[in-house]
Amino acid sequence: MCKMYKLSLLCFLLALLQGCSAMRTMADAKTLKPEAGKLIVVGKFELDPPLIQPGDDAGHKPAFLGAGKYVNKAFFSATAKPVDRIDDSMRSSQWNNTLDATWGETYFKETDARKTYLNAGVFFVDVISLDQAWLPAGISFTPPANAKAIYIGTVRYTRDDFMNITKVQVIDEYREAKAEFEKSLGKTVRLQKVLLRKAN
Amino acid sequence: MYKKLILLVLAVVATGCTTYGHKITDYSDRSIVYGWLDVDGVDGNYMYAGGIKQYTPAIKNPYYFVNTDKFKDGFIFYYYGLPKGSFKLDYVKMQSCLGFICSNTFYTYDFGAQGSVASVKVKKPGTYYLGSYLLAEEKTGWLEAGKFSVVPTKKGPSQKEMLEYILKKAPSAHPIVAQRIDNSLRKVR
Repeated sequence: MCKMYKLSLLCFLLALLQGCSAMRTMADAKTLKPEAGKLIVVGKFELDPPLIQPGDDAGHKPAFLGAGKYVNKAFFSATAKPVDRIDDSMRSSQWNNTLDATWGETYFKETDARKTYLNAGVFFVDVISLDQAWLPAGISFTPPANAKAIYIGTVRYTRDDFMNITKVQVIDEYREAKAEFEKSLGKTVRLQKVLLRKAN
Repeated sequence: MYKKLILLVLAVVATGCTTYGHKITDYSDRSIVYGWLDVDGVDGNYMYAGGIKQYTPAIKNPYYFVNTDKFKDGFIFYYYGLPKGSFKLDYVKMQSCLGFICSNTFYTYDFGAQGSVASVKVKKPGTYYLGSYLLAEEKTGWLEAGKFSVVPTKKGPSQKEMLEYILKKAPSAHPIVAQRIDNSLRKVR
């Protein structure tokens, strides 16, 4: 009987752990210079049309305290090797270096200086349901040797009303990103342009 | 003192209850939506609730509770008062019943935020069919969340049969609703 309880407790703890394996995001590098072996990645994600449009009565209250931090953001699984399956079964290790960014804002993120695959992304459609929608990716960037900061481009996702992604574009907005980068970090670190490419 | 406290609690509860309702007094700019689900392949045999979500325009309360009734080896769902916008069947709730005795285990089938299954763009007031679908459980691993598939089916009742049914249930105080269903009935088989 005691064994039964122990097994149940173990199952319960495992289930809890499963729930706790939340994504770990890349460090924000808007003001910090990169450490040795690290790299600053600069880019932007856009959703067209945005989730909240002008004229919408969008005074939503978050479903729970802290839910607000998930909204209006995109989260991308970034790994050294491409993942086999893109679905809910993706392991937590595939989310332990997540590239998170606010839609429409230039991000500066610190990550390892190595080839990185952006496997897939998710975003939360609203703060009430916290329902998720997937973003196709399958793209990668390869930093040049000794690069300290790279610009990977603006990824624009076009969607329909039901969050189906109808078009994905990588747009070069290097000039604007460089101006923002130099405003934050000065001119001591060179921002190299390495646009995202289809992963192979 | 106690009475006031109870009154206060009831008032708070009542406030909560009205959060997700949509009070409609004028149906002239509203639309009727309906569809049918075969639920033989999922847990539970009685659909006691369902909801439609509004995607555009974004509003504070985007959920509309649909009516659900047992109909022709499945369940019909319908709602009489959608405004203009984009909508999708968001979830249905099931339980297992034997006669009037039902278990206290409830199953929610969430259709997800992404995809066009059972969706509609209401551009002008009218009657809109969201489709007939087969719901079936999918095999998942241990400790993995349950999954189900939604497949369009032609097995269900005809649109005419469904419209005739919801016409009988239409709110008599608002003849425009029945009039709209009647107009649609002339166009379907």
